[in-house]
Amino acid sequence: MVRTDRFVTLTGDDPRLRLHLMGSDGTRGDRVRPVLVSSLNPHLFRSVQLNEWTFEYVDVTALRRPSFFKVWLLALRPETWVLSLAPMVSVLGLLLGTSTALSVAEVVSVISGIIALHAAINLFDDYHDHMRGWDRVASHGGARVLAQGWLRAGEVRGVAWALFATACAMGLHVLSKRSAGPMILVAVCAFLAGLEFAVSRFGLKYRGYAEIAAWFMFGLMLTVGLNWALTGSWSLSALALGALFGSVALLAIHLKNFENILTDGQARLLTWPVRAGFDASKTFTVLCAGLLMFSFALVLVFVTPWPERLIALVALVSGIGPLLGRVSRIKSPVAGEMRGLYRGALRLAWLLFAGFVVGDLIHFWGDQFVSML
Amino acid sequence: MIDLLGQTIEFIHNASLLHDDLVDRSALRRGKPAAWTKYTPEYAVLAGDYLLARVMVNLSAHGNIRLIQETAQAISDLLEGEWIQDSLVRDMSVRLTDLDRVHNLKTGSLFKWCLRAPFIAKQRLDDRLLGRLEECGTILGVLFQRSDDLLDFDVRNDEGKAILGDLKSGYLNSFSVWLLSDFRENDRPRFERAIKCQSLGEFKSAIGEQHFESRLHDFDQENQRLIDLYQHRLQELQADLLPEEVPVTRDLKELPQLLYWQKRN
Repeated sequence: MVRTDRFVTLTGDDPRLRLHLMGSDGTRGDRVRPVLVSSLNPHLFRSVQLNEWTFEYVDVTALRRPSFFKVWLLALRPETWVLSLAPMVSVLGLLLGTSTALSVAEVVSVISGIIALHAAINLFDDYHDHMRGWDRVASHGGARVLAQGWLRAGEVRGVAWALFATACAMGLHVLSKRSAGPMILVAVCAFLAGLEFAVSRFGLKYRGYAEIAAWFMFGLMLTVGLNWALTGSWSLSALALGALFGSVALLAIHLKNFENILTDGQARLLTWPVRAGFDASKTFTVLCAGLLMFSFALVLVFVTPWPERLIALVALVSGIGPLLGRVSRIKSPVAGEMRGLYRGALRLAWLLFAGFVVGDLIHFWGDQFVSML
Repeated sequence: MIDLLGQTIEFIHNASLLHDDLVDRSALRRGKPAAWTKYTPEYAVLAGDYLLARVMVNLSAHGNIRLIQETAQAISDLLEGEWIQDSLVRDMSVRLTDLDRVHNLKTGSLFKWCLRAPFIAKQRLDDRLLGRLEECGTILGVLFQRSDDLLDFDVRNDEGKAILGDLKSGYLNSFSVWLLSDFRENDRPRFERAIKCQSLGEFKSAIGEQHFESRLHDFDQENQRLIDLYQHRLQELQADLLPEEVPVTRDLKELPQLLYWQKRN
């Protein structure tokens, strides 16, 4: 039997569209959820702008949904937090190591504020992609918890605002302790970063500038900005750390765009991998790895040259080797090894972050131990 | 114009078969020796190229530039899909969404052309109309390919296609992925055993007969969902058609049933 009543197509000006995007059809309550149907023809919804949305009415009990905890974990994407956490924590470690006075409350506020802001940006990113209809395109990337009907758009937006408010509260706490000027500048920069990565306000990604934006926003802006905000001055060490973690973010964003080279190419979105092509993008990955190693060399030169930094170097090399090997083996834009490149870059970021933390802890405890003796 | 369109799609399709049989080293086509075995591989390649060139010559004589662009795009997508599919041989981590993308290029491109070209030839260039036809073509392409993939497992295999041909040549088709994805994630040894099987009996034994039947049922349900989606799109399409064009949808309605279930309503 043909069941055409299970689908509905709404145009952009249909008053029911917003309700459907928010996860309700307005008549059947909570037991049926309208789920956006995705298309294999990305250009229809990005460049041709077919202004219609097709929904499937799905019984909520029939949705093969992971547990509540797992769904929110997928939505919040904690594996990505390292891109903002690592540069901030490394600067805090640097300042603590140079005996800059920092209270426990300040450190906790900075770290929790960063996590809250990054999680909020991830949720806003998914929410806005969904409301703009970009979930109509079947692609990699994003948590797709909204596209799959696992969460309603309103829920995601609500939690995003709550996290954003938390981040602001943490920021205000630090602001109250330090000079306002630098902190406000950091906040403005963080807000601009949020606008770009959550809402694509400036469209940098689709003009091939996402990687550069990531290098700056997750690198220098965070490390130099935080260092300046907490000490009132800038330092070569913070610059070197910014270059390093900016390079990590650059690699991660590049690999994320590379994973989607086929879909973005079909949608005629001019990301850097689409502009450069498949083979050149693989080469660019190697160049990013080279930049990363060079940046680490800068860290060894300009950041207090503790032997413990070598732990981070070992972590970096052990992460980057397998990643480059995997990229070199990829033969086509849909090869199995394409999937998970971005996750691989994030794993590398976490390894590097762990290497820095362990090195800092060993150095700190080492000093304490020596002073006890 | 009908003759021209019919000839165009036949030339493109046959060109792709001439090349495909050589690439895959298939000895038979439609129960007879493949062209590259009957003549030479070189002639098979040249014959395919000649057919594609004739397509361009014939269409350019007609003068509809948009139609030429549409045809060139279809050929480009077809070849891109073939290329990418070839690169997926021995890729054991491929997913259904990846295969759907490939099928949309390789097979969907021709179905889309068949649906859109007549309207383009008549200068009916409305984006919404052509977009909806494209979506219908995509569904037909995916259904056709999935039905073809089922033949590999002797499901509704009326044409007597060779069993497990794809799996034995190291290619996970859409139904293989559907059957084996759980094992690939959670029971790797079983997955490894299954992909090495040389007969269907051995394969069903490796994964469990009940699992095979249950997953086949789910696969059919999922594809019935696509058929329902296609019918919905066809209904939406009627709003864009002129009164004299509406009867076309009656014929189009039968297609997915024919392609997937191999029977009429």
